[in-house]
This record gives sequence, structure tokens and C-alpha cells, in this order.
Amino acid sequence: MSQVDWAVLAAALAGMVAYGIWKGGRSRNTEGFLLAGREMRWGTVALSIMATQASAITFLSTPGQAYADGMRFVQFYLGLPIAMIVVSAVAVPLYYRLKVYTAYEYLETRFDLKTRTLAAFLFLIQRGLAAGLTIFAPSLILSVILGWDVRLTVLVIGAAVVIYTTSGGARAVSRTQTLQAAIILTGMVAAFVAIVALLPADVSLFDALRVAGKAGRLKAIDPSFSLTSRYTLWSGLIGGAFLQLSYFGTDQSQVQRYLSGSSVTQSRLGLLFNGMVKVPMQFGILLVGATLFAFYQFQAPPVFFNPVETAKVRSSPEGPRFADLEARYRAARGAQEARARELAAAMRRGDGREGGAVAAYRAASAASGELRSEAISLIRTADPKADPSDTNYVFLSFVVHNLPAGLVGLVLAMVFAASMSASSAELNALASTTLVDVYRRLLKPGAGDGHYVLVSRLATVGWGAFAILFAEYASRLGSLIEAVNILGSLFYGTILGVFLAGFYLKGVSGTAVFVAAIVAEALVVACFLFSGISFLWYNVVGCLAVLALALLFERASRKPFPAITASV
Amino acid sequence: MIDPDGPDSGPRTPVPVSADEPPPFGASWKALYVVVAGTLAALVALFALFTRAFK
Repeated sequence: MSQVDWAVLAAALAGMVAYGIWKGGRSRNTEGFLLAGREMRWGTVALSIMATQASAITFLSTPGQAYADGMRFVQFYLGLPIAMIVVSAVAVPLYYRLKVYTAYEYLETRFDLKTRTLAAFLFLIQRGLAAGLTIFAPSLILSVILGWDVRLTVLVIGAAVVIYTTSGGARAVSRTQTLQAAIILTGMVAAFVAIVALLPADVSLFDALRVAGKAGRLKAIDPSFSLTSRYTLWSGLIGGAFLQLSYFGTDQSQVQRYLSGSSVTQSRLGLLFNGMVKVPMQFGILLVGATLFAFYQFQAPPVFFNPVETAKVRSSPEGPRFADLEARYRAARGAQEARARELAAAMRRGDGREGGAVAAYRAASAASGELRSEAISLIRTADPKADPSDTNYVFLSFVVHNLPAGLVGLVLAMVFAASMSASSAELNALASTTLVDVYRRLLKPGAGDGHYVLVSRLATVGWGAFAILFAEYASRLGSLIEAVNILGSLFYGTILGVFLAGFYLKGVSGTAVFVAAIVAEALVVACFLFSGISFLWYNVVGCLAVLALALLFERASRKPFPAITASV
Repeated sequence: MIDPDGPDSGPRTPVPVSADEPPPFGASWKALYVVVAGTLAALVALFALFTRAFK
């Protein structure tokens, strides 16, 4: 990295922390610290919602996902607009009427304390772990680029977020997120423009995308119905809607964002705006990855994108074999590049000889793919604990090796901004739930407001420390974007089922829902451990299981025992 | 006792809010919901066309 890049990155990082402290002010009451005084306009609410969901994982892992697996991941987000409509229509007015600080307060009003506490604990476990992943992702960048110990970089990022979140609370989080959103948008557009500009002079963007299409990377919609295929139109619309409903309707990290709106109208507008722009935004990020794939059809990529693993195998006894494989891979990629150019030319001419060019390109691609698989096997031979997935490094590797000075710093600042925006919202939400649903409700009710603000700040620091510790173990979870969504899907269905039972099953009691939630969670974990069902469907399974079992248990609890009835 | 302005220590009592206030633009909330759903349908159609064009 050049000095210009360092200057851009350092200025962006220091600027974000300083801006957060400045704009956050010094909240002296819990409403100010936890809900930004409920004074945000819809534009700020919308940006805050989007920045909370789009963490650094989104900007690191998603382009790599498109590079390796194509555009089909966009289907994951298709349920989001549906969820925005339902949350706006049902949850927002309800939460405002109850003037709650956390979503889980509603559950005590509707059911009982134990149901509220169960949902709050499920949230704390799931979001606490997810916060670790959110901090880990950008730490990976610095550790890879600078050769620093990842523990040090995790600590630096985590500390920066904790400083302004502890200082300014929800107001600092929301205000900083608008600045971070601007940095993110600029960085992503700059990266896309750079990829297009670096394509060979005789290959247009359209040519490159058509080659990527022939490699199966531009398949955005899969209309087939399959419970085991990870991303289809139906798993996205149905399973995705359940997941997003749970995330936006019951996850405190999002509920807290729109409860900071100054009215029901401001919150609703923020959510609906998100419903309209989120899917195109994800499509755009995936398109960056697909374009990157197209770029590497005309220029040889490294055989493996993780430089730490390749350095390890090179210095191991397998080093000479790996060097030989790398040389063969470069030759194979040279042949693949020639076939890609022939294919692009054939498609441009449109003279009917495209079929032969496609077959030749695919054969060349398969040959280099086999060599890459051999290289990955060798990496695993040299170090059985090595991560065989390099999806998370694809985008970064391109940025560091191909972008001009200044832009590298900007893109890295984008990743940091994304990470800080999401993790600050997570820490703020974890602190809120810890204070409102655990400390104030169960441990120390009736203390003064100043005491609760202090506890909120301490909880922010505590959860920051937990997230940093968990981040140390996050490096072996494969594709981070999938890891965080799978983790969420293990809990979201059950939590959503509890809330939907509250909204729609008027005759069901807290005990029936509580027991149903525990059984449903066990069922979801069993699906994860023992079935091949794709993770998006866990949300449907968990939610429907809670609703069905709650009705069943309620009915069973009301049914009189025959013997007792007879004696009476 | 419930403090409506602070974090509670028990169940909440609902307070009236202007949930039925019309949106600042558009005829009604229902109309806005239809716009969002229509945008989703249009995006799915566009993505299907995109998939087909680059197949």
C-alpha cells in the first residue's frame, strides 16, 4: 500500500470516530442513549437500516460469492420488500403504541415475563456471535495486507467502534452511518469503474459479461423449486421473507433503528425506502463480483487468492510441487484467456460458430479448474487446518494488486466504514436488550436514569469485548456472508414464530408459546445437524413449528382429563 | 407502576399514536405498499430477463 492509501485510510478511520463522538453528543438519559431521543427523519432511518444490514461482510464476501458461484445469491434478498411491507403495517404501529425500547418488551405485555426473557436471550446469543463476525471481516483485510496478527487488527477495529458507540449511543450510531453510507457508495462505484477500465482494450464490458454468462455466473433467477438448493426464486421469496421478517420485525439491532424515528410515518417511510432499494443494491454488489470474474477471464488470477495460505505451502516440503502446479496453472489460464477472447469475438460476430467457441472455452476452463483443485489439495496437505475457501479474498486481492494509489485506501476505508456501521448498531442493540430486558427488568428495577445510562455504556463495552473475543475464532467459518446468515437462520424462525403468535393467535397463552419455542428451536437445530435442507427454509420450519405447537399445547392444556371430569 | 417515558419493569400500557396518519406522498399507505410490491415484481422480471440475455 502506498503512503497516499495510508493517508486516505487513516483520515477516514479517524474522521468516522471523531464524527461519531461529535454528532453523538453526551446522552444523559436512556431514551437519548438507546433511541436517539426518537427524533430521526425517515432518510436517516432508511440509511441507518441499510447500513446496519450491510456490514463489511456484504462488501467483502458478496463479490467473492458472485465470482465463485454467480449472481444467484441475489434471490436471498427477494423476500425483503415483502417483509418491509408487513413490518410497516403490523409491527411499527404496535411498537409505537406500546412505546417500547426493545421488541422483547412487547412479548411480556402480550404473554409473560419468561417468553420475553427467552426471546431476549436468543437475540443476545445470536447477535453477540454475529457482532464478532462483523468485526472479524475487515480485520482479515489488514492482517492479510500487512501481515499483521489478526488479533491485533480485531482489537483496533473493535476498540474504534466501542469508543464512539459508548460515547454517543444510538444518536452517534445513526449519524455516523450516514457518513459511512457515503463512503461505502463511493468506494463500491470506484471499484466497479476500475474493473471495467482495466478490461483489455479489445474487450468491452458487454463482451466480458457475455463470457461470464457462458460460465454460468450471470444466472440471477432460478425458478425451480427445491428444498436442498441453497438459492432459488422460491426459497428467496418464501424462506427469505420469513428470515427478513424476523430480522426486521424482531431483531433489536433493526427495531432500534426504526424506533429512533420521530413518528410512525418516519419509521414506515424509512423501511419502505429500504424495501425498494435494497434488492437493486445487492444486485449491483454481485455484479461487481461477476464483472471481476469476467476480468479474470482475460488476465490470469492467482491459483489461490489467500496469500497467507499460499505462502505457507511455498515454505513447506510441498513447495516445489506447488511451484510446478502454479506454472502449469498459469499456462492453462493463458490457454483459457485465448479461448475467452475467441468466444467474445464469436459472440460479437454472431455467425453461428459460437457453439464451438463455447465448448472450447469451457474445456479450457475445466482444465484450469482441475489444476486449481489440485493446488487446494496441496495446500491442505501442507496444512490440514488450512481454509480451503478463498471466496473472502477475491475482491481484496484484486483491489490491492490492481487499483491505483488512493483508490486502494478508499476501498479499504469503505470496508471499515461498513464494518463499523453494522457493528456499532449491533453493540447498541445488545446494550439496550441487556439493560431493558435483563438488568432493569430482572436484576435492578427502580434505579435512577443516570445509573441506567452508565449500565448501558458498560454493556456496550462488555459486548464489544465479547465480539472481539469471538472474532478470534471466526477465521474457519468459510464464506462469511453465508456463515452469518446460517447463524441467523438457526434462531430467527423461532423468534418470528413467537412474535407472530403474539400478533395473530389471540387465544394462546405465554406458557404454550414458551414450550413451543423450545421444541421448535430443537427441531431447527436437528434440521441443521441431520438434514440436507437449505438454511433459508429453517426460518419457515422454526416459525411454523412455533405457531402449530403453540396451538396444540394450548388446546391440550385446556382439555380436561377424562377421569377427573368423571369424578367431578 | 409503569413509567411511559422510561425503560419499563413490566408489561406496557398502550398509548395512542397517529398510526393512521396518511403518508406525506401517495394516496395511502396501502398504495405505497402496492408500489413496493410492484417494484419487487418488476425486479424479478428484470432479473429473469438478465439471466436469459446472458445465458
